[in-house]
Amino acid sequence: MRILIRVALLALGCAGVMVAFAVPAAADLSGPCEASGQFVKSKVTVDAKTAKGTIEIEPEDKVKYTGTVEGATPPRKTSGEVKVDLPFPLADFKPGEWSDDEADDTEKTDTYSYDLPAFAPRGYDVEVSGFHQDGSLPKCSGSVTLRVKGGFFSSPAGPVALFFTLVSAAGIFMAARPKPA
Amino acid sequence: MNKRGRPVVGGISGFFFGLFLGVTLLSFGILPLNSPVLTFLPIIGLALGLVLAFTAPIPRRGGSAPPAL
Repeated sequence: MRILIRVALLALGCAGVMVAFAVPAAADLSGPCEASGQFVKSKVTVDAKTAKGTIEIEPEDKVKYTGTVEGATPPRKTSGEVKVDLPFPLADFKPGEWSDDEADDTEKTDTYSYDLPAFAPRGYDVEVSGFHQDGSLPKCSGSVTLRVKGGFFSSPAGPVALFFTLVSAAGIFMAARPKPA
Repeated sequence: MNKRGRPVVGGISGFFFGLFLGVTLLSFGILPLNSPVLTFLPIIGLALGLVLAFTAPIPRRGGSAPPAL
């Protein structure tokens, strides 16, 4: 009985930690920039300044994106990046990174394609953030929360992880019994 | 004689328990991809496995555990 109470207290403690670290779903963009993307297959258009909540996207899609800077005086030095935040110790994934010492453009339109591997989990929130530094203008920075459509059974990752969680729990159970004399 | 379980098995099992529990919670959509909990869970699992192995609180079936010194 005492071990059950201890396990229950531990589970409650873990749940408390999870709530404390939960990331609020939102989108924002600060600075003299505009950015938007149209997810073709998902039929979703995201404006980084006005988007609210979590945006559901397909595991495989093309994004037609546009970025503009107001008040830029070419030529000037520019730099920036777009990254997907990953948990430590994994390095953040950077689908876009740019730098130019004499940039003339104040607008960029292009298409970005992505395709999640079949074994990758689905149904979780992904925070995509980025910044753009344009000459002496204030830095533009923003983020958007995306969720890949699907759930626990949409990829093998969830059931496989659950299976090995139970196997590992059995290993802990075995280790927690005294060795025979 | 010390009342002790299997610390190596406990540590390894605990680490993987935390790792796979993190992926399971991610797959259920409970945790976001950038959550620091995904980093902490294997460490908490490792510590939990070691503590449980060193204290060995679960008695063996069909016989009493040797008394702790």
